[in-house]
Amino acid sequence: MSDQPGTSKDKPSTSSAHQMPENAAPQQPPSAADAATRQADQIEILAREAEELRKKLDQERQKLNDIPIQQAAERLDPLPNLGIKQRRILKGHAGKVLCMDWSQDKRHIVSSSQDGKVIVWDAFTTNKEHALTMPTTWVMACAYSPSSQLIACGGLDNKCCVVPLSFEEDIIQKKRNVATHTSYMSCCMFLRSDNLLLTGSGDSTCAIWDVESGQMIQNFHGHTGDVFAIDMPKSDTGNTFISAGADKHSLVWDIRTGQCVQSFEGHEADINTVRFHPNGDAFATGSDDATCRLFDLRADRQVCVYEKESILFPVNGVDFSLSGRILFAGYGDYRVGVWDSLKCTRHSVLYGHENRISSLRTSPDGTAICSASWDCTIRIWA
Amino acid sequence: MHFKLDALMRRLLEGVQLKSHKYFRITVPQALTGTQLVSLLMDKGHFDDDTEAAHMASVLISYGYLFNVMEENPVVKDDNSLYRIQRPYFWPSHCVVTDNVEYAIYLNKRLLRNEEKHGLEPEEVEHFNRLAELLAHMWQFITQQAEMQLKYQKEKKKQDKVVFDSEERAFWRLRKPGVQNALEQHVQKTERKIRKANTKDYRSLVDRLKFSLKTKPWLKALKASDTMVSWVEQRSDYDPFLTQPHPSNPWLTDDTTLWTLNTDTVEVPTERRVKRWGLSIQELVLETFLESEFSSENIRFWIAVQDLKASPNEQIESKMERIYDEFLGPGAPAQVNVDSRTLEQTIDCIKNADTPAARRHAFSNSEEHVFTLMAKDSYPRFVKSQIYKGVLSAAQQQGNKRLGWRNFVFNMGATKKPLGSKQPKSQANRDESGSSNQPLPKQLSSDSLPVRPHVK
Repeated sequence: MSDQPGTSKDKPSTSSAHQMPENAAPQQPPSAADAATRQADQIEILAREAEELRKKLDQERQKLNDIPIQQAAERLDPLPNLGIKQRRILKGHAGKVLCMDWSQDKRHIVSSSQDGKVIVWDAFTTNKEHALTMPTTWVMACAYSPSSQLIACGGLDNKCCVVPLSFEEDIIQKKRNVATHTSYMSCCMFLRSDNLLLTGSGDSTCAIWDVESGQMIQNFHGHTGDVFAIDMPKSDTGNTFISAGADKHSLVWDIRTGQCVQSFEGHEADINTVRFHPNGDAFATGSDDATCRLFDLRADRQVCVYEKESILFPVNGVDFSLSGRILFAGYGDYRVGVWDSLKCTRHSVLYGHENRISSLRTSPDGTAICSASWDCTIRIWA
Repeated sequence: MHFKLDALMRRLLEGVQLKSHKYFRITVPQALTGTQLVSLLMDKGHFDDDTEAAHMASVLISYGYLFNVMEENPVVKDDNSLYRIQRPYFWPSHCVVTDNVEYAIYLNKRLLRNEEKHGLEPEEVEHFNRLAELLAHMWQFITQQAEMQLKYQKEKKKQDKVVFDSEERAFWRLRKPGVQNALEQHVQKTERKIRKANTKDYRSLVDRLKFSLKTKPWLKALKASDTMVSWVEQRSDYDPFLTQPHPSNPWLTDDTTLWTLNTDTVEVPTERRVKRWGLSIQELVLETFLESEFSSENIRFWIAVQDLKASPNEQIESKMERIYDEFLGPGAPAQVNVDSRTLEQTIDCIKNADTPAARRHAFSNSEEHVFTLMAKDSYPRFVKSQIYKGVLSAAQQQGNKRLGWRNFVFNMGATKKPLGSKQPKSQANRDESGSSNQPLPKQLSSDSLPVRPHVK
């Protein structure tokens, strides 16, 4: 529960910055060079210890003599013909669309693009309801609040701001900065309420912020590279979330303590996207290594790789269907792959986008998926 | 990624048979038709079908690995259009960045040659003029380079010259400096940085590994997979991609009835929704409906704690006090069923909570305890209960929409405990709409509620 003093250079700037000098003070090294060598030695010892522990763990796991998930899924019928087609196309962005999120009303969508625009759509009618211009390019992340009354967005400006949605006034006037990182903000989401915001950043940290006051409530150090994606389980009592990024690791965090409680590896390149399985006990990741992977939290291991020799492009967005049976993956080769998540085979491919897909999300009631792309469009498939 | 594309392209180069094709009256050397290209890709790329191979070919064009010889169409079709494989020298893996000087040399070369064949497009003239201004200080070098390259090229065979010209032209068509192309990177990929893990990172890693070794918290993957498979199987009836939703999927039919039927304020929940409550406690907890559940104080405590966790910083203190006074403190009016040890831990946490995060989660011991209690005890009772069955059967009679399910459930709760603060705001309308009141099943009256009786 104690907030451990981190290395100060990795700490995102906080509104409660007065804590930092206290933390830094007691660590005055007698001689800088001396301390450096000592630290290097220590790191080496610890690295070796970690390696050994990891080997032991692997041995223990092997003793379990497990079967792959495909085998457990053998008794299931193969997926039927799904007949998924493009049902809507949202045109209006002039730049690459980088991120999108569904409203809980199942039909509204917020999207953000590289040219600094944030648009709120009624996807069902394809009408634009709000359009905001942010003071930055590359708005990498946007999110709808659970009440659908707020949106959050940010990106290259290192900030995440919140805008209330209303038709009465010019809403951009109501924009408020909530979060500030020391590098770009790559992903954000509300934490089960309009009052809490979770962000991930290029400064390799994640943080939870109090929306009202803009104070940081908790921060999460542990990644050794940029954080590209975060997610939390839909149906849980709500004390964990996962993050992943350039260090190829997915980390599971305890919201209460700020500690990393589990970590998963396996990808060979940057992880661009993570999404919880609807059962809350597993999650899927998509990576620059052109694979998606499924990790099980209870089994504490990777249970499946979704890959094909013919797939060579990065995965930028993954999500599950409502039951978790289908895994949708948006690729850098402009296509959406439809995978049988249990039998680990690719079921079909959705063609339509004319540039890479940047983000993909299933609607809250599972009736459709939405993909955003660098071709400046957003498409709804059902 | 380029590494993988290069490998695929090398396989193509090995397997390809290039020859001269007639395109109307022009001879096109070292080319292949769309049909040949697609079948070559099928052969070397392990694609599922021709559509996939043709799509891949189009993507390869946008990355500059292939190009269309006669026109600028970026979409590859399975037909007689002619394509060439780009010279590896011009692959994006080899030419990572292009600069103005190279482009200026190339344009200069074109100008020095036969105007009819190599003349510049209007757009290129513009580029040339701009570059001449920009690079005036080194223009002599640029013209020299262009002349030298031309002299060198003159020694080649005519056919090779034609091919090289087209390759070079295709390359610059795609890679003009300052013009966007498929190779552009996401800014987060160009900004990304990896730092070395420090002692603290390693310490926490070691601690984590030690912890998993000690507790072996993992399930057998077999068991985990099995539960996941059954979980998914159970829910496939509710997955709109697998089972057509009733009455229809709005995105397909433009009919939003499905959404209207499933809003929180609806009179009768749909049968599927009610059935889903029967699947797990979490499905149910998500439904605000549970507030009226009959084992009142536990659920109210749990919901209050959820609310606390999600509250703005400002309200945390007062909400903490209220929860403590109502559910945990000595003489609390709605004492929750927590054993003394958990209670002590919780009180400790409350006392020691000095950060906003700690305060928010001070009740987590008790919360977990109560949740387990509900999941193991109240919830199975709920599923077996008459309320659940009553609502379910109401839902099944889709025709009778005026039952006002929430109404009767809430009213029953009211006899046992004061209603929670989140009582449906639209109760009044509901009463009106519920006027066609179907007679409630008798056993749903509050005194026959199976709350206490089900003691094992």
